[in-house]
Amino acid sequence: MIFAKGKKQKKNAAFEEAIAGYLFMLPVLIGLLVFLVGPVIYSFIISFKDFTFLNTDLSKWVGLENYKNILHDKMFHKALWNTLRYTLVVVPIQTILALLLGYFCSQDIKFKTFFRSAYYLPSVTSSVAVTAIFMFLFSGKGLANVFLSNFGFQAKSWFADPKYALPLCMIIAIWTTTGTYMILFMAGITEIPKSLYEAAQVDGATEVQKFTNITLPLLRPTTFFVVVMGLIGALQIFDYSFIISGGNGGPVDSTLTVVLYLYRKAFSHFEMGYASAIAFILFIIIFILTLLQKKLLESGFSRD
Amino acid sequence: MSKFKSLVSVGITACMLSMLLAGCGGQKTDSSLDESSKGNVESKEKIELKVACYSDPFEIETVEKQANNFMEKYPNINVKVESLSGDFWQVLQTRIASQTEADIFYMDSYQSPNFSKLGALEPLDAYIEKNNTDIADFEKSLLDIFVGEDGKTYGIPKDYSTLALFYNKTLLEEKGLVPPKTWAELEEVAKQLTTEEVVGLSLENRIDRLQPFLYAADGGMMENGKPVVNTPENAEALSYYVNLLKSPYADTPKNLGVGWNGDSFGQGLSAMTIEGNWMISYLKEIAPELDYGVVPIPTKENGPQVSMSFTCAYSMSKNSKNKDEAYLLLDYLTSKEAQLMVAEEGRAIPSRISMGAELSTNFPIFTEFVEQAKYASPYVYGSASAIVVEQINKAAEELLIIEDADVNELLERAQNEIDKALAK
Repeated sequence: MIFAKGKKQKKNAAFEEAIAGYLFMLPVLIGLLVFLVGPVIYSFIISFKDFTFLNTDLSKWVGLENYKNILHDKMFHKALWNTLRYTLVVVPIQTILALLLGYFCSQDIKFKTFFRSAYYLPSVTSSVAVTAIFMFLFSGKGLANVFLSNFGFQAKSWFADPKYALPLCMIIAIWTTTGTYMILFMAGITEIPKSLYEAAQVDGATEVQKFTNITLPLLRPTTFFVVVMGLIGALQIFDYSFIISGGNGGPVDSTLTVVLYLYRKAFSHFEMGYASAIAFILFIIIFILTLLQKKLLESGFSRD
Repeated sequence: MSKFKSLVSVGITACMLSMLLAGCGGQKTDSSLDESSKGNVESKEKIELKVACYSDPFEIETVEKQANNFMEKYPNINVKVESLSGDFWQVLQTRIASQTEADIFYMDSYQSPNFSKLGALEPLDAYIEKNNTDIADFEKSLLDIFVGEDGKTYGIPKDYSTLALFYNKTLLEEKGLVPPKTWAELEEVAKQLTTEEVVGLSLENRIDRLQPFLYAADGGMMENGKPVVNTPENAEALSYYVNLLKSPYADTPKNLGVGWNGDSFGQGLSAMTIEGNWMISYLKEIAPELDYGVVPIPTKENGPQVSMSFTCAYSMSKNSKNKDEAYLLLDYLTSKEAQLMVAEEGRAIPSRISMGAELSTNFPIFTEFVEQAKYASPYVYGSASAIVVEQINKAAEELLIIEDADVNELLERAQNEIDKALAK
């Protein structure tokens, strides 16, 4: 009698479990709704208005005018171009670097744990502190210039030169985020069954052949994830350029990125509506790129 | 799942929820005195006022002291001092948007036109009259900065700072030099003081340091209340300033590897610099042994004395629920008594004429800065201030960095952008 659970009791138990599940999710759900979904919807609405925080009574509907003005805005073009340049350099380099580092850290080498921690450590540091130190290193008399002068490189303050300021942001970004993606690749590599490698070994494959024919193809899902996350992160770059330029996107707008431009529009020029429209355009760009990514790499998934 | 387990899970959820909500508090420092514990029976209900200031620990200390004195005078008013950390202006805007801003807050000269134009500030003229505030004791040039386009007063200045030329006495006397008075002398002295380790001058390539040079050449930033930058006088002054930076005798703090002029001058990386009186307390801290002097900023041959002023006022929010009481607080915070505290700390110059003299007596090093108030041009450019500053800084930057940049073209472009922004 004790062990025989009737249908009704089973239903009750399932119901209680479901309730408990929802209750556990509730704090996070509320948080997401209030701090993420809500503001996103509100921001979308004000992107169709001429809106300022200081006096919401003054806001008026302008329809698509914000969006139209953005398309003709030279500063926005510059910001977009800078952001794209930055993304096109940072994402491939950090993906490849993370892949290689992940591969090597998955091998049985001495001090494996030390290397893993060392490569991951930059990702947990504060971007503000890191940027300040890099600016110090790459200043006119900084260590980086001393080192590079050995190769005939003329010493200069990287953040004061319009040709080198954005590359400095790129260097900082790659240094900081490669670790995170390295971990992801390591996880992906441990998923690959060892039997495949052994079989290849038996067939007489070299290390390089094993890498290109087993590791790489089977890492496709992870690579897709890393590239997409990398893209989303890179297109939203703000903190490095903000600190290097002191907030003005200098020198000579070379570090003006889309998010930095929208921040300026919102808080210095008091044009919140315009800034929201910029944010949405960025969202659309990222969304389209992600969809394209998916299409391109989808073909490789069918193997699984 | 047993009943007990589901109870536990609900309990944990409740704890998590409460932790989430607890984390949603703001940053406030509470300096309220609990008057009721002293046995006063209150027939009136207590009025709550908030005053927001910068998150500088010295500022917070001063404002809290002043607030405590105020609360002793008015036991039915409770004052909370809020310091907004991070970008004060960004946080203030978001607070105003959610209508949770303080009743009284700092207002920078540069930001004031925007805030008043967009209707976030309460006009103070009526309150000034009603409370007999002796407005004549305030430096007129400072008061005028906070008068809006409609002629109404939107802020009462609490203190100000001016720019002057700091020079390293030891280095100058070693070479037998005297502090420069003209542009030619400035260049010459900087040249003589430049060595392998030390650069003659540390200069920021921004309008908030180079503006005095524009006025020295008879140029300026404003004409009839509108920003006008593309004048030949400005071109001359800007060229002179940027050429200094291009020469080996002057450099920007960033290029010297430090954050600002205070660090480059204090660490002995430069022999002279142009900065404000806020650097005095900084130098006391990081370079107490440094023997330095202060003279007015060198001007063009036969030019006028020049300087620049930065001032901060107290403004009242339009949304304040207790405007009369808030004005009492504002009045006190800018009163002789409160400004005496500022004068005694020696960090900024009190805006009252009577108190400026007091400061010079206590801290002779400030005498030159107080003197400069007469010649100082303000850091305010009307309602498009942000764009004006951006454009002129950009012009200065490009003039320095781009090889064959034409200063007149750059100023023309800056003016066009400014006009565009004003037309909106």
